[in-house]
Amino acid sequence: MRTHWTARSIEDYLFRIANDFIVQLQNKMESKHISQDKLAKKLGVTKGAVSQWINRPGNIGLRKMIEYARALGMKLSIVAYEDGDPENKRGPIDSEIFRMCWEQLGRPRNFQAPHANAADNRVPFMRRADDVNKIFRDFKMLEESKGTLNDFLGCPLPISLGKIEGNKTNKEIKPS
Amino acid sequence: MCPSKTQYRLKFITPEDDPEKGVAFLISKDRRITAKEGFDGLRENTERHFQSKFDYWLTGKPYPQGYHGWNQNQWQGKYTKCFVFTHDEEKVAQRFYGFLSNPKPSDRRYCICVLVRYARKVRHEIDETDLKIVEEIRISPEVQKTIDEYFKEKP
Repeated sequence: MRTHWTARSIEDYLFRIANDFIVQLQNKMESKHISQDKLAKKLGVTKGAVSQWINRPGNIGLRKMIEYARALGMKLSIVAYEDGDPENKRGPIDSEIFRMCWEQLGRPRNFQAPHANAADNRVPFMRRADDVNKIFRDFKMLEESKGTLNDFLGCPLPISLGKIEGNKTNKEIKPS
Repeated sequence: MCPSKTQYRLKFITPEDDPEKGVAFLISKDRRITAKEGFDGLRENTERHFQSKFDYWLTGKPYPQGYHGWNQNQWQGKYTKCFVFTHDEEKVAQRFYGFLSNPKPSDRRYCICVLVRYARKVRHEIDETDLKIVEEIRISPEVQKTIDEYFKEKP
């Protein structure tokens, strides 16, 4: 299998991930009806400078990325990850995918309760049955709840015992 | 003596083992086919822009500024199989025109975009010429045969 074009050089890889970032900002500009002119004024630069940055994403530095994101009311994080493709045969994962997953998890802000901020506390669509099993095992309820496990995939995730007790669906499960 | 038929072949620019989509150049001595030559002549930065757009299309990312097709309501529905990747920079619009195909008999969801024509235009110019040529090439039996042969499943 041939390698991905971003495996040719660091510059290629940098271009691609910077371009992913720019597309995110372009989408934000479009949704907020912010023109390049308006963004340039906000940043105190010329329209040409904004245009140049959009056309040559590989030249943008981290500091500028933060400035541009902040000007649009956004923030920036850097994510390192392993995707089982150490030789980069498939290219980087689009940063938009990370953003979407974070939003689907309810935009967590800490590690303690990753689902605590979820809009409806539902199990994320990608959560595997194994993960759900583990949660139930932690609460020593696996045996009692086996029959209703499938139901739980579409029901509120038990974050704490307090929540489980207060949850109508989970009341049917008696903790041992 | 019979005149020899025009030969065509496919050359993938995206990973061939992608289970859902692929982008490939149609290569031939047919003078109407200019995509590969155009791509090889791109400036480094422009080439990266197009490579990124091919990636985005592969992942299903909605990005109408980077690529699109034509629906039944446009051009009297003549070019619904045609597709274009676009890049506008410094008042020059660059385009790669091609067509979509579902070439795997056992997996009709699998889709390739076969790139045929490269064009540099003045921004916002609407020209049917490239689309006509792409459609002519798309429906030609030789091109269809080339695609079928490429994806022929081994017994």
